[in-house]
Amino acid sequence: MSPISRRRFLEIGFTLALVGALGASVKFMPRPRLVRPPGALVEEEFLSKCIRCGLCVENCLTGTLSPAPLSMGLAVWGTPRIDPLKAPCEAVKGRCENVLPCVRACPTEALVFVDSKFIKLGTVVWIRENCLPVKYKLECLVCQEVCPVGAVDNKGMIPVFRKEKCVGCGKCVYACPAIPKALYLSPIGERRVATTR
Amino acid sequence: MKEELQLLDRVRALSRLGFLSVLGLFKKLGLVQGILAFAKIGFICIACPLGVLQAFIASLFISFELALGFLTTVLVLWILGRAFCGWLCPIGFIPHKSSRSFYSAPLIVAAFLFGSFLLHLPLFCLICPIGFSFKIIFFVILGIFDPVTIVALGLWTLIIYFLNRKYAYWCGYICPIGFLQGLLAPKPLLRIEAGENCIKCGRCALMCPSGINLAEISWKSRLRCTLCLECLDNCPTRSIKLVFLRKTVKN
Repeated sequence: MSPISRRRFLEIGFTLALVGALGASVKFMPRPRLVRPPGALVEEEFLSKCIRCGLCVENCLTGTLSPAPLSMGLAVWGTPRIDPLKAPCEAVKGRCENVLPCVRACPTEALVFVDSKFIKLGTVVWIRENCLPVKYKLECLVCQEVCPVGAVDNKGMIPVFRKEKCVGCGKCVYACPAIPKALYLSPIGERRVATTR
Repeated sequence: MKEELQLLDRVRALSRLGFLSVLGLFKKLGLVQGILAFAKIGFICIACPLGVLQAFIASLFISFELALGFLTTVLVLWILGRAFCGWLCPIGFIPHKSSRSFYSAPLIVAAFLFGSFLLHLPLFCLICPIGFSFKIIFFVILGIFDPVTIVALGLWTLIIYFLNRKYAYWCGYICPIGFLQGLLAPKPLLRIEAGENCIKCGRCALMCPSGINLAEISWKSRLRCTLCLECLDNCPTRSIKLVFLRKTVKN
């Protein structure tokens, strides 16, 4: 073996080791669960099909979709997520009902068209301490006013969220006047599409 | 590396800058959608060939639009060859000379495709410096300022700068996209040929960033041609020509 070919061998080995290290870090680093746009496939299939092109984000009518930044994890960065702090999703009883511009825009079929009755992006989570009626004894209930599916009841002046009715559109999170917000959107309970391979 | 910047280098740098700014402007105006992983201008789709291949291998499925984008890209590659590398790729801003061969790039393409298959996601897209640059434009337009992304982009640019500085280690040896572009278009319609006046002085091989000797060019070495036109600029007998559609001149 001549010295130059040994050097090449080392370089190739080193580069392949780096690729392996990248793969291992993608595999073993914890992946955050993000709230995905309507019609998203189950997470593993979604990540395998999505090429992070951003077409869904650009076609979103409300501006709730945004690409996940790198700080959310190497494996998911660039993929679309619902950000209710920017805007709510209107896929259920809103402008996008049965239109779903994000799904129409997706070139990879990582998002597929679904009936609006199927859509459940996640569930809203109530943070009791931040809620204005609890914190300052104010009359608020903005969340109940904006909820498109009637998932918010009230007990006295305090909101009660019904998890089974919530579709995770994030309208209440967007509208919540408390600072910091008394609500956040979690992907718990999301309904995703599973295609058979 | 204290060579003076030649006119051609400046023109190429301007072309890259122009490409980035035109793309940014078009994005801002809504004329072009997506980033280079998959971009759409009206009905025309363009897709990154490596991105499509990885997504295909990761999910064992290819959608119609993605296949269309892939075919369009292959068509463009058949016509223009690797002109993207030489004239448009933002990584080309990092100055480099004297990359010699592609000996590790096929292995790296295979490694990333295998990794995509194992991990079920397009592996190279996560670190692709080209994708990084376009995503940053996208993020700026959307108003996302994520310090981690910006710091990572800075570090990555620095690493690629050091890889490219002396031997063009990134562009010449690692970049799987460049290699795949060459592989998809081994003999593009627009290409560099040496004519009858060639005296086989070897100056083209000396000036070529990929070290191609046009007097004895093979399909393997043509994979490395990025149409940078250094050879054309430096040929002492002016026998090197940019040919389109013509057959190879045999001397």
